[in-house]
Amino acid sequence: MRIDDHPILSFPETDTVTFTYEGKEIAAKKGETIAAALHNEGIIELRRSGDKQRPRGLFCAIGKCSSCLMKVDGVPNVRTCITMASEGMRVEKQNGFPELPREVNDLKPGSIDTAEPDLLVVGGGPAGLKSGLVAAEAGADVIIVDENPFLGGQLIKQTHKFFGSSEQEAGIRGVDIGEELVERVERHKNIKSMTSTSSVGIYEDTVGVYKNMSHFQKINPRKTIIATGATEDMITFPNNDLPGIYGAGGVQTLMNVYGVKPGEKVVMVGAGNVGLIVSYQLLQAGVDVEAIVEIAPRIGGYFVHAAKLRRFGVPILTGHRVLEVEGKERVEKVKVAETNGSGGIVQGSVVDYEVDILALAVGLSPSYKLLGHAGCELQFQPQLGGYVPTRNERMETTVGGLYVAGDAAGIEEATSALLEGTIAGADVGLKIGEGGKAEEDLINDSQEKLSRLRAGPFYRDLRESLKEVGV
Amino acid sequence: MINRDVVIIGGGSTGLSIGYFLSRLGVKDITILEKSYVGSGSTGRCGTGIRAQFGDEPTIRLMKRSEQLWNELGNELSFNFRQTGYLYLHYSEEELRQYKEMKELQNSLGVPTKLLSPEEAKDRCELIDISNVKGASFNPEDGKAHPFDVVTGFKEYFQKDELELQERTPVTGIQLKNDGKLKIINTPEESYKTEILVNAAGGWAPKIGDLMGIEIPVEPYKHQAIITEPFEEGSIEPVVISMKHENAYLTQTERGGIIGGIGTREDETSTYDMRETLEFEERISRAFGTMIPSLKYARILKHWAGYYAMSPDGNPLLGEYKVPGHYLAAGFSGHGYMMAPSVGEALAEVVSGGKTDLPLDYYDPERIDRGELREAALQMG
Repeated sequence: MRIDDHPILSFPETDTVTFTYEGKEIAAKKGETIAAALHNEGIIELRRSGDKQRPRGLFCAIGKCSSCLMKVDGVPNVRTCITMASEGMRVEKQNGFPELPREVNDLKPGSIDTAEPDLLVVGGGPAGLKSGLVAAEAGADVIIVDENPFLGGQLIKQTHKFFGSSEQEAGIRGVDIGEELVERVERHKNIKSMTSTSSVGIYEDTVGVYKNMSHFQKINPRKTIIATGATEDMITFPNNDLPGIYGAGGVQTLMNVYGVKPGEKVVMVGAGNVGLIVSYQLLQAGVDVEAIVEIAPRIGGYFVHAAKLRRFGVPILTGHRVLEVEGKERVEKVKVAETNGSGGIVQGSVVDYEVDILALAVGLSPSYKLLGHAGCELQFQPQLGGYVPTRNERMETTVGGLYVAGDAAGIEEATSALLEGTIAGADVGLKIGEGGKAEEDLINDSQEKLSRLRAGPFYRDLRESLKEVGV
Repeated sequence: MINRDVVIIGGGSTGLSIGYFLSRLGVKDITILEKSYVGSGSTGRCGTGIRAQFGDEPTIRLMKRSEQLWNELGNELSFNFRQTGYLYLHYSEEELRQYKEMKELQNSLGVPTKLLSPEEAKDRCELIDISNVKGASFNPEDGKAHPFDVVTGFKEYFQKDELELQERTPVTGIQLKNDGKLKIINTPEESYKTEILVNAAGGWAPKIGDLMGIEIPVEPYKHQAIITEPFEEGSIEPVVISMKHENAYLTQTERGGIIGGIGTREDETSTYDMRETLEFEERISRAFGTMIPSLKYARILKHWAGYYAMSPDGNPLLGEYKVPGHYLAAGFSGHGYMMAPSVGEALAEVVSGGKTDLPLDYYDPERIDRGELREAALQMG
């Protein structure tokens, strides 16, 4: 179902494209992914799992998990959450492990292009875009690749106003910051951006990227910045794979990027900032938030976010957890209980919520795999979300010429991602011999802002972890 | 200091198999030392294939016995030896002729290889593009087994039989006493005293030699392999081989992925480097996509490198070598995994003072020093 009345966002009418799903015609908006169009039609079971034939739907909505794989024009395992619907496309459900396609249309091993930019940025979110811009401003010629159909990363769905100690972006909505960044990147003559393009590996000097099945490119950059962001975490409970269980970011993508209402009633898990903010956004999209369930004894997010939700009468149940989800083909009921502090639950505290969505805001893990492939030293730092690379204070990893910025360097927020991107981009500018005093100033200034952002007792553990990885 | 009848260095398929057969012969006072975890070297990186389709008598005999033992071990240690056959695709009359000769030799030694028409080859795997295929060789007794199931099976047997298997235990030094008859093997935690030392360290066998001050004629060559995303069971049953397409081999694993590799380039030199290369992905994509066009749509999920531990003549080095009581089981040149059962059985028999029916003289490591090189065993990948 489409959201037609939203307090912040507007979803203008666009041309329609028609594709088929299991032979049935589906109308999609132009510029919409297959998964979003199917959701709009109420089709949320996208495939059956390989081993046990369990129903599966969308989870992360940004190409990071494999929950939404479908067969598109005969090709199996297509990530429908990042693949645009197009006219005449044939979409089919996958039941179990797919068969290898029998009819092979005219797919010839194509020629392989090469490119040799000064800088390759992997990831077009805040850190990546900012780093590319700063390096390009210093004279570097830059390629930015992202496997999503749009640039902007997670900024394009952040409808809330940023605040905090950073003077720079406070009071501005993420979507607006994103829009401005994307515009500047697209206008810049030194930057070439490639969307819907996956980076498959970093081999010695070469990064391999593919745009689609017949177009592969080898990029030999002088410097590389990895800004691949993060993946949403999952928790364990019976039936945690049912369609209707989404990452909080996945829900955000559906409603804030595509204007598709994810469902009617939701239970949110996690009362950190993400859980609180997305709950509020769900209300804005016209979804009833039945409860926010938090296993910790207190709310992890900022007080103002929680207060806003309470004004709308949303209960925030601290010291509670999800016991299980019930439902045949999709979420029908969520069972929640109060924890007794020693691993069990308080007897008689089980409450059933009849909802069609369960959203999980239970943490993020840095997307470190390309860094690992390149041979960077990685450390496990729970405070930073998981595996992160060792780096110096200018964001260069233990592999020379390879930088990291944003959530891939450790889970923080968009503001720190922008600052880390600035530092990495400016250092690249200096190293390729183009930058000068302006870049040194940018680095000093951003480092200062980062330390102010990370000041205070709330961030003590984060600061300790950052010290260990080299900042 | 722990006294042992036998110490085996290397917890791959070869070392584990030798330990297993020693225990079956009643030699239980043994230790296996593995520097990382079982199967972490070349075993866990192999292409999973097991075949008796070779071109020389000793290797065919060794592998004929090995396939019998793979079956028995599968039952005993609870893993699947899936006899789906090896399907060699031939693309020229010359190749057909050569393989017909090999088939006859194989048949004479009890290996039931058949020649197939292109259509019969397609019946074995319907996704193969047979437009340029002239014929095929197929031995239904060949097959594949999942390396991690295999090493886990061995490990559980050792636990049950209370044999000492030390993982994460590198050998840091070896002292030879009594003209080498007595060996003291040092590890970070413990030292072992033994008369019989089996070097089953695969590509690392020369490094064990270094610790004893002897040179072992084995050189590691980087060999890369890939596995794709999983597909429906039964997509590619046999191990499919094409010598024409860069000595390619590929098959589907029990988990559904298509696993395989292609030959190392002729200009490659020995190395301990294990980094995978993009150049390999290009070559393997072209080779696989030409043999089986459907594979153009299969994404590579994992790509890794291991070693082909090459001996000077491409045949294993099996037997006592240079130091009394020092047995080599190394230099398998890409065939160590498939040979592990019969090599384990034969070495266990010899080490414990018995006899073996297998042609161990042919594989005597001293042949290298005598300059008696054998004809290289048929190799792919």
